[in-house]
Amino acid sequence: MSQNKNIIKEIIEYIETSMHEGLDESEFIKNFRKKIEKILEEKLL
Amino acid sequence: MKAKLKLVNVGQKIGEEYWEFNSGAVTEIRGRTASGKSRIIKSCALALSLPITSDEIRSNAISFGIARSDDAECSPLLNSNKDKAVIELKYDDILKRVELDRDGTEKINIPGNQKFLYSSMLVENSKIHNYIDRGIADFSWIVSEMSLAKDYEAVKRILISYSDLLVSKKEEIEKGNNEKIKNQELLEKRKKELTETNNRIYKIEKEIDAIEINPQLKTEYEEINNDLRKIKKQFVENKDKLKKHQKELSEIENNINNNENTIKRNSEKIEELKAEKKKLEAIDITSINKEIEKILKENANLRESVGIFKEKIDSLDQNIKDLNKDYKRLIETNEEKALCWTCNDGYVSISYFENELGKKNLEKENFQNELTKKENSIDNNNSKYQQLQKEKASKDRIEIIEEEYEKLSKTVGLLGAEKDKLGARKKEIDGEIPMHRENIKSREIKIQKKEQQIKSIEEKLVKFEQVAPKLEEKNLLTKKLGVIEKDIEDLEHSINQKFFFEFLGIKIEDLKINTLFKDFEEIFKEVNNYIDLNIKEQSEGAAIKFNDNIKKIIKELEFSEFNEISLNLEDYNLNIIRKDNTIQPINSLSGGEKVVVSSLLQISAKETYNPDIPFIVGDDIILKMDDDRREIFYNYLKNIAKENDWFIILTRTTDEDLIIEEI
Repeated sequence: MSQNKNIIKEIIEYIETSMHEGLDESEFIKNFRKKIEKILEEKLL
Repeated sequence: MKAKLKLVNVGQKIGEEYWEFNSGAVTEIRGRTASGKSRIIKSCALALSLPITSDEIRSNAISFGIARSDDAECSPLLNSNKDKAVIELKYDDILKRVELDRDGTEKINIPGNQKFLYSSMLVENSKIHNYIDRGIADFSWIVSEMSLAKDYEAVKRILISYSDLLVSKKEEIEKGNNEKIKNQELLEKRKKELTETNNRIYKIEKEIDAIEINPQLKTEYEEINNDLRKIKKQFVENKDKLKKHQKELSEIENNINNNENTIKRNSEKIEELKAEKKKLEAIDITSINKEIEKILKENANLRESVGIFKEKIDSLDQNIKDLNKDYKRLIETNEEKALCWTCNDGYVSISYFENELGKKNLEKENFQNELTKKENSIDNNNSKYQQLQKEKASKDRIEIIEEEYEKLSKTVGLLGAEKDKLGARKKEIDGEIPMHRENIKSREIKIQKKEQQIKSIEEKLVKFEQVAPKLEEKNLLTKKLGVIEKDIEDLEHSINQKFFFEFLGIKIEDLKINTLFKDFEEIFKEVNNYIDLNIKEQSEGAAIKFNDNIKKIIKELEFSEFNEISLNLEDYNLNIIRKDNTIQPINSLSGGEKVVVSSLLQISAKETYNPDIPFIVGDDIILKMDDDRREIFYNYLKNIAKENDWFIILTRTTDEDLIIEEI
């Protein structure tokens, strides 16, 4: 549960940073996928 | 605050040029048509807005003459005889650098905000001005495109695509699970049938035993049947053991694989940490300190020189001012000479004043250039100083790296030991499996042999009239038994088989997938709620703030003609109400009014959506304004520049040579 909360926080921070820098959609899609893959791998360990 | 603009090969000018602006003031760049005024503000706009990723904003940038159109070779700001142009805009601690190459590439050091071009570039062909000019009242795009609502909506769409993928995968899993449940039910039914059929066969055998026939044959038949049951039981036991070991083996192999992957990842990280540590250890603090000391000393000297140059420039300014005063007086009074201000005895002529002014101005320009050079050296030294301090501070990371290194090494050690243990067990099982297979094979041969013996006895028994129908039934049941056993084997195999699902190219075991998907569902749901909240806040809040800002601007401007300019919160249409409370259709505004209204909307959009970039640039926007309105507008700009510490830079076409002046 607390691990999920940290992940949610991390994703929201990533969204906010992308917004702040001026959202580049294709860059966001690429990095967001990497982020989700990393979360998935960590959860599978 | 000062903004320094360095241009290299921009527009018609070849080589370097430097411009300076003060914040909190309105700077006017005046000059004749084609004197190069616009390229200065266009360069600022480009440096502040790149990268431009939106197609619509890019097409606006093309119409402003700051971005390359599809059919053009390179940026319109690059000098036609040069291969590269550079724009550097420095303000506060920020240095924005743009390189424009002949091949059309635009390189930037730090990203700006493309929406700057919607809100902070006051030009006659801005999007807002185009809408007003064409009498279009629908300004919903301001709220959706200028606020972050549109960006949040884009992120929401991406998130939804992941949630959809999750749902489809979940359906796939559920289908697999349903199949498993169905097979489990079928297995139970088949097992029950197996027991019933076995019981019936056993009963038939007992019934045959009860019939009065050859006692020796009967005993033999009974013994073989008993043996067969015993062997079949052993056969099933051997098969179970084999299955159990095969399952264990597959799990061990999986675990070994996982361990190996983690060890590999951790080892790579360890190598990275080692390299980083080595790099940090190589940092020589003593030489850094010496370098810092040198920079501080150099900067102190440079600052002293800057002070001297400033004093010299101030004194020259005073000289020029005095000379100008006398010179103007001579011109105004049509006199040819004036009393010499140094000896108070002789007279000096107009041409003398002109020569002196030329000399002093040249001298001032030289000092100014020297001053800029010194200030640039101070800036460079400051950047170096910061870099050195950063390097010094990075030494502290060694301790963190060591801790992390130790932790990772420990994990690698533990995982290695576990891997060895698993390897030993795998070897053990690998050795046992052939034995189980051998046992199964030998039992199969024995079963076949016993079944043949039974068959030959049954052939003898069938001669007895009462036995024949029972044997026929038994044969049928035995065949059925074979079919049931095969079914059970297939069902068990299908139920015990491990399912893998693929998600984002990663294989996931079905046992883990439910927990994993539940986690992701929770994560996506929470993030989605957060995004929805932001979309709502951005859309509604932004429109209200936008209206408040226009209201404030109208009040401050004290324009007599308008009572209210606002966006309708339902459909975001623009309403203009005159002082006499009549509604003013947009297309009936005069040319000057259109410029005023669109500039008000742009400034308001800037205050609402883009307040962080302290620049407003404008290209000849006051051309269509009458003198009174221009004065009010300029006063307002001066106020907001002062209030927000913004740089407001405007161009204006006059008959003068290119000149920059605060107004």
